[in-house]
Amino acid sequence: MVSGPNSLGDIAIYQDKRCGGSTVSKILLAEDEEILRMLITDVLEEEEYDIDVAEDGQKAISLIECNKYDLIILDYMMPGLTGVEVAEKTRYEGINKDAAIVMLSAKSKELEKNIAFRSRADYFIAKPFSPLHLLEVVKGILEDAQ
Amino acid sequence: MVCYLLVFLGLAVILLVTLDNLNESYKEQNEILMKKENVARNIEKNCSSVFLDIRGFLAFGNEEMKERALEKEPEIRKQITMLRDLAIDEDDRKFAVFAEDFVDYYFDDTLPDVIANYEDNNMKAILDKANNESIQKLAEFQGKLEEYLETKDKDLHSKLNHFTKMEKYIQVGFIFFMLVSLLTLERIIRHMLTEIGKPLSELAKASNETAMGREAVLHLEIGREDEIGVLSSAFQRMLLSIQEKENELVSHNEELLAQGEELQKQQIQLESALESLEERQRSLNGRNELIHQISDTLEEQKVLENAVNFMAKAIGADCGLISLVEKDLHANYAVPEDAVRPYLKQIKQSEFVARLQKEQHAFIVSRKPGLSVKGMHQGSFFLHHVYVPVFLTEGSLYAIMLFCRYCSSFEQKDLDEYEALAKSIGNILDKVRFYQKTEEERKLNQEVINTVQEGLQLIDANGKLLKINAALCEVFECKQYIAELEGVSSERWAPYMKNMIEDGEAFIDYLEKVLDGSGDSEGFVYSMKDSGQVFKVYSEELSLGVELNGMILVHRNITKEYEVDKMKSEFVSTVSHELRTPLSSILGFSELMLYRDLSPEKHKNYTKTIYQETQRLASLINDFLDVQKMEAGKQQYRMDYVKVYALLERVVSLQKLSAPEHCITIEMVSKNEKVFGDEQKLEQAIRNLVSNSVKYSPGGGPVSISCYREGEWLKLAVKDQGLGIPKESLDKLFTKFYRVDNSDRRKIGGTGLGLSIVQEVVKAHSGNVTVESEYGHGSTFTISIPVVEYNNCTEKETVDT
Repeated sequence: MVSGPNSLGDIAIYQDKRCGGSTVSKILLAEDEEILRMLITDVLEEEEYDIDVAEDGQKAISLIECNKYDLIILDYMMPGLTGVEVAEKTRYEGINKDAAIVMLSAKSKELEKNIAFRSRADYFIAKPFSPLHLLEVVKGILEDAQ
Repeated sequence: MVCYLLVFLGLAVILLVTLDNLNESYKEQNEILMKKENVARNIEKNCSSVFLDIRGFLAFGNEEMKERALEKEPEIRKQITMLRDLAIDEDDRKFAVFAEDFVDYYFDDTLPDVIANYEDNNMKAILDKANNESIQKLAEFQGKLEEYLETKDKDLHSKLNHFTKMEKYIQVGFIFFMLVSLLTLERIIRHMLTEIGKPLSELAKASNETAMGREAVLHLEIGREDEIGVLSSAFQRMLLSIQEKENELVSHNEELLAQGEELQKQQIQLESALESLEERQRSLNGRNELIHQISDTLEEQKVLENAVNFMAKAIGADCGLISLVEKDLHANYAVPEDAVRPYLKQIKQSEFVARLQKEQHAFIVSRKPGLSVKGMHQGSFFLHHVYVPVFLTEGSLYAIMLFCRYCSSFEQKDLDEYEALAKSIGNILDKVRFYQKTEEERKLNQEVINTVQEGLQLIDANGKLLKINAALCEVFECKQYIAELEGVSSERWAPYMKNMIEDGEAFIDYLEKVLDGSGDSEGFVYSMKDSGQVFKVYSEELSLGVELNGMILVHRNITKEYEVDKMKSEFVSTVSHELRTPLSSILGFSELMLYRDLSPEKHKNYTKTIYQETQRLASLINDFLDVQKMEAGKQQYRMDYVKVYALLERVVSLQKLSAPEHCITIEMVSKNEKVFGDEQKLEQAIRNLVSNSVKYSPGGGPVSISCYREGEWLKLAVKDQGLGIPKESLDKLFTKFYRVDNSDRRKIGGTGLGLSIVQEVVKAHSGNVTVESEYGHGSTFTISIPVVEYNNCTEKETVDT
């Protein structure tokens, strides 16, 4: 579906697609590192996903409040609200209560894994991570949902 | 006696009752008589009035009179009936019948006739009738009535007479009765006097006799069974036993007399023994006094003074000196000041010391005195000395006493006494020495315990606090009453500590285990509620001898180690996070390049990203290593005089390569300004500040570096007009990996270590770094380094260094 050069500018194209067809899966990506945002959106562009991005927890929350998502990818360490806090809020109430959540973290300690699962993330991926593995995970979750 | 009383009472009652009865019957009879008389008189009165009325009627024809006379009839009849009811004897009844007959005749026969005749005016018939019988009948009735009344009066009189007579009889009877009673009573009393009083007085007399010590004979009839009998036989038995006892006593007395003589003999012996005892006691008292006097102090010098004073007085010496053998400690009694030294010398003469040590006994030396002592005396004159050794309990010679007399010599037989006194002095000195030793040890112990930095707490097996040191009291705020804490039970001190500790319950659990003996050697870590200091406590059993004497709890302040530990783990986790982010990019993009078909632009873009992230990783690692090195104090600084201007120029030119659009200026008064420091490190610090300024002035604002002196300080200020720093972030600015977090700055990369490095470098130069900033209007970072004067001879110095 994506046409044109694969560059950082693609994010803008994805964002414009928010109001597109209803059959495409809608994904929210919250990650504070710009380069990683680019990496993830690039790797997911292969599939026809509608991707929203947020650069911090606060932004992610405001997007979650007014948009229905099939999958939410959260970075654990974000300034302001952490990924876990965003996940907890998401699960607590609102339209995305049942959305699938994938947690990314540079900290791979068991403890933090536990915290991520307590917030009922569906999947946990430790940094540095393989983007292709992430793609497999996302695909798997979305296929299960359908 | 009781019988007598009963008879007396019975008779009295009978007399009283009889008198009463008599009285009653008289009253009754009298009443009846009076009544009868009354009725009779009433009949008479009524009849008279009837007769009068009838006559009146007949004479004057007054109807009213006739009616009145006729009305009286029922009343008269009623009274006659009453009279009949009251009748007692024949007389009465006859009179009643007669009266009735008369009334019948008068009212039934005569009166109707008369009235009828009168109404017929037949006065003649009336008169006839009256003359024929009525008058006669009337007179007869009146005569009878009079007669009856008279008899009744007589009756009344005779009754009264009879009553008075009876009363008289009774009175006479009563007097007689009283006389009989009195007589009987007299008999009884007399009997009692003879039966009881006499034997009692006999007994009293006999006991009196016995009490007086004479033999008593009891003249009493034997065999009486009453109380007196029992008493007298008991008394007789008592007399017998008294007599027996007396005999016994007499024999005892004789024996005692014999013993008394013997005792007197013994007493004489004892008195002589007592004298010698008293003498002995005097000497013992003297010794006690010595001990008492000497031992009121624990100071060795004082003890020596007391000892020599007392001894000299006790043995009657004119002067005396005591000196310790090993130490230069002595005291004297009445020795002239200038003579003390020679005496001391004499006392310590090796031959005397050796002799005392060998013989272990006091000895006497007599010699001719020197001139100074002889003075006014003339003729042969000896100075007498006695040397008395003082031994310690263990047997070593500790002190020597020397006493002198000018006139009388010392006697050999007294030496034992002197030695005994010396032994007491030795004991006391021993005690003083022991006390001093333990006191020193105690002080040393306390000193040691108090200087130890760890908190120490000595408890016995039951948890009672035996000792606590100043360090622990400092932590638990009990310094002002440290002395009162000894002996406090664990029920008191444990909760006190618990309240000041963050996790008090766990601490109590640990203590319980320690007291059980089941505590592990690992110890227990706790932190204080107020100060947040962290302590580790461990216990060691303290056993002195066989018994377990208690525990020592050692509280070690591990706050630093704890914080370092915590910092380390935080640092590791932060570093790993910082490293993982660029690693993720490198890994991710290289993976995509390997497994994906990418457009050439994308390929180039990815390569560039990988390159930049690798650079970032490299500088991160370098910075990180720098900080680590500096913090560990391992960074080597090559100190020298550095030309500041040249250094700044280098920084600016380098910076301009990467940020050509920024205008960077250097302002300084003298281009020859020099600073004493490590050139490379200072350059790194300033470069970090300048690159920060450039980075956080995204619009390409101007950056100025100024260098100036302010008192003893050389200041290097880097100023920009960029984003500025929010107030709340200012104090965290120099923390490792801290990065001001807001959306303006997010896009700007950085390791968060630059300012930490600046701070470490400046610190190493004994300086400091400060920041002033207004959010949105730029920041100024100022490095201050102390000025080290650069003199003429510097060139030389530089060469030397």
